[in-house]
Order: sequence, then structure tokens, then C-alpha cells
Amino acid sequence: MLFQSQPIVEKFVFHKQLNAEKIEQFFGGDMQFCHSMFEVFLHTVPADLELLEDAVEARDFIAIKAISHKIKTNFKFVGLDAISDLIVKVESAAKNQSQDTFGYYKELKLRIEGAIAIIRAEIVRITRYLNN
Amino acid sequence: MKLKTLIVDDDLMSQKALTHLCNQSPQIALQSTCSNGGEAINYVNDHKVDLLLLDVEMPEMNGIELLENLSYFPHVIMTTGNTEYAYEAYEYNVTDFLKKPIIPSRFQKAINKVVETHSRIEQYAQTSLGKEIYIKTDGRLVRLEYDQILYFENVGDYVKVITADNSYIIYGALKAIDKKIKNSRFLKVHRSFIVNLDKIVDIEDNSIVIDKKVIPISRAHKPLLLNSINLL
Repeated sequence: MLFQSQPIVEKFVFHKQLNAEKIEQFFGGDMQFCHSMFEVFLHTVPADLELLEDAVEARDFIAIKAISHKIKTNFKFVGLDAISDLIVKVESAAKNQSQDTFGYYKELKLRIEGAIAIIRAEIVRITRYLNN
Repeated sequence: MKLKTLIVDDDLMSQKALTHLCNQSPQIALQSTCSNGGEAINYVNDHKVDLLLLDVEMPEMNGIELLENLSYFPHVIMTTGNTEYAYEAYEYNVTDFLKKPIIPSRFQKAINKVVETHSRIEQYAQTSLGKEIYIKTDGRLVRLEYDQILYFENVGDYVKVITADNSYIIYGALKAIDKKIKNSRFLKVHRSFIVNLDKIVDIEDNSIVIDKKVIPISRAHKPLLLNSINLL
């Protein structure tokens, strides 16, 4: 009897700050699709964050709520649950026109650069994984 | 049978995720994607859509307002980041409500629900489609048997439905009505008229008479008309 050897495909291991279980659930292990969604994230979210910053500077609660609402799901898609939860706090405080909005936004601002850098690095790693 | 589906969402990532889920579902034929309410209303009113995957919170016009402006009622699955809209959504008889980001297994469950309802409606429709239509006019749904209708006439953004003893005005385009009529005795004879062939009194060179009304026949539609009548 001849045994044919099967290539072993190692599972991609996501950065520890990302919710890998959720990413797996959303994309069903389809790394090509995951890669394209991460790219869309990087393509769209930084521009929305600039709009959020403008809205915060203008103290425009309605715009803050609308932009936060739009982007919170995007962070969930890429497994950045902790950032998404923080954006939910911004959204909810803005909805109540509370001054807490600005405190939560300040906290968000401190963490956002690092979070986006993780996604940028993950895209490079996923590209390498797909090429191999 | 595949559900002709339209995605309505202002967020690119959500659009992309929904498109992927639709492409993976054997029960869905994705027709198009719209980024705002106005664009979606035009698409739905001009095409026959079975299912709307509709985001609730969109700028300018939200999902609930969009539903109020449709000329017919496709199945609706609402998608949102906030569950607070669920109660209001069910008031509009939506089939399901999905929280974003959507998990594939939950999406498929919602699609199965739509397919079940859709099949039941289709079965019922098969028995009544050839006989009658319901038209939405003055906030009521009025049942008309095809045999009562003389012709449909396009008037701007509206269509007049003429019967022997009444006339009704409905919002919509003649093109959309032409697609929805499931009775072979109705024929478009001009860009502004669909006539009931059984009600024709006579046909002249470029016109038809139905109940004393002279209806023009366009050159493009004339061959089909002549093929549809029993000419000795």
C-alpha cells in the first residue's frame, strides 16, 4: 500500500491582542478573505478616525455618536475587541451628551495608534503566510 | 429557487462581509449593493428584489425610513451594531435581526427563515397570481381581479389603474408593474401604457381603443401586439 504524503498547513496564529476565536468565527478560516478585510480596515478606518477627531474638537456629540457607531463594528471584525468596547463607551457617552465622551476619547486616542500598527503588521504576516 | 438579494449598508467592511456571506449561500443570488437609502429605494422600485439585507443606522435616511418608502415589501433582514432597534424593526414585520459583525452560522439561520416564509408565499401566490393583484392606494391594499382591469397608464411618478367603473393611482413605474404582472393577457403597447388584450374594442394603425379611450401603440411594441392577437 502506498501512502501519499499530505502537505501540513500550519494554522495562522494571530497577534495575542486580537480575539483569534472571533476572527475565526467571522472568516471561517478563510485567510484570503481575512486578509482582504484587514486591508479594507486599514483603507477606511484611519480616515473615519480623523473625522472622529474633528467631531471631538468641535464637541459635536451627534457626529461623535454617528462615527463611533460606524467604526465600532470594524474593530470587532479585526478582533480588536478592547478598542471596540472603548468606542462603544464613546458612542454611548456622546448619545447622552455627557462630558465623559472626551475622557473616553482621550483613552481611545492613547491606544489607537498601537492597535492600528498591530493590524498593519498582521497584514504583512498574513501575506507571507498566504504566499507560503 | 434563489432569493434575489440587495445589500444596503453605508459601511464598506460590512458590505464586503455581507457580500462574502451571500456568495457562500446557495439560496442567495446577490443582485447589487447600495450605500444609502435613496439609492436603495430606486433600485428596489425598479427591480424585483426578494430580500433586503438592510442596515438600520445610515446617514440621511435610516433603514426604518427606507422601508416606509418602498412600493412593495420584500423580505427584510436587518443588520445593526445596536440591538436597541430590534423592537421597532419587528413592528415592520422584518424576518430577522442580525447584530454586526455577523457570524456565518447565524446568517444562514436567518436565510433559512426567509426561504421557509418565501416558499410558503410562493405556493400561495401560484394559486392566485394569475387571477388577481393587490394595489396600494390611499393607504389601503385593494384587490383587483385581472379581468376587471382595462389598462395601466403612466403619469409622471405614478401609474393609473383603470377598471370599467373606477380608477386608482399608485406610486411606481410602469416598467416595474410590467415585470410584476403574472398574466399573459397584459401587454405593454407604449412606454406609457399596458393594456388588457381581452378589453380591446379595435385596433387602428397606431392606436387601440379600449372603452372609448384611444391608446397609442409605439412602433417598437406593435409587432408583439400583432403576434398576441388572433388575426384572421
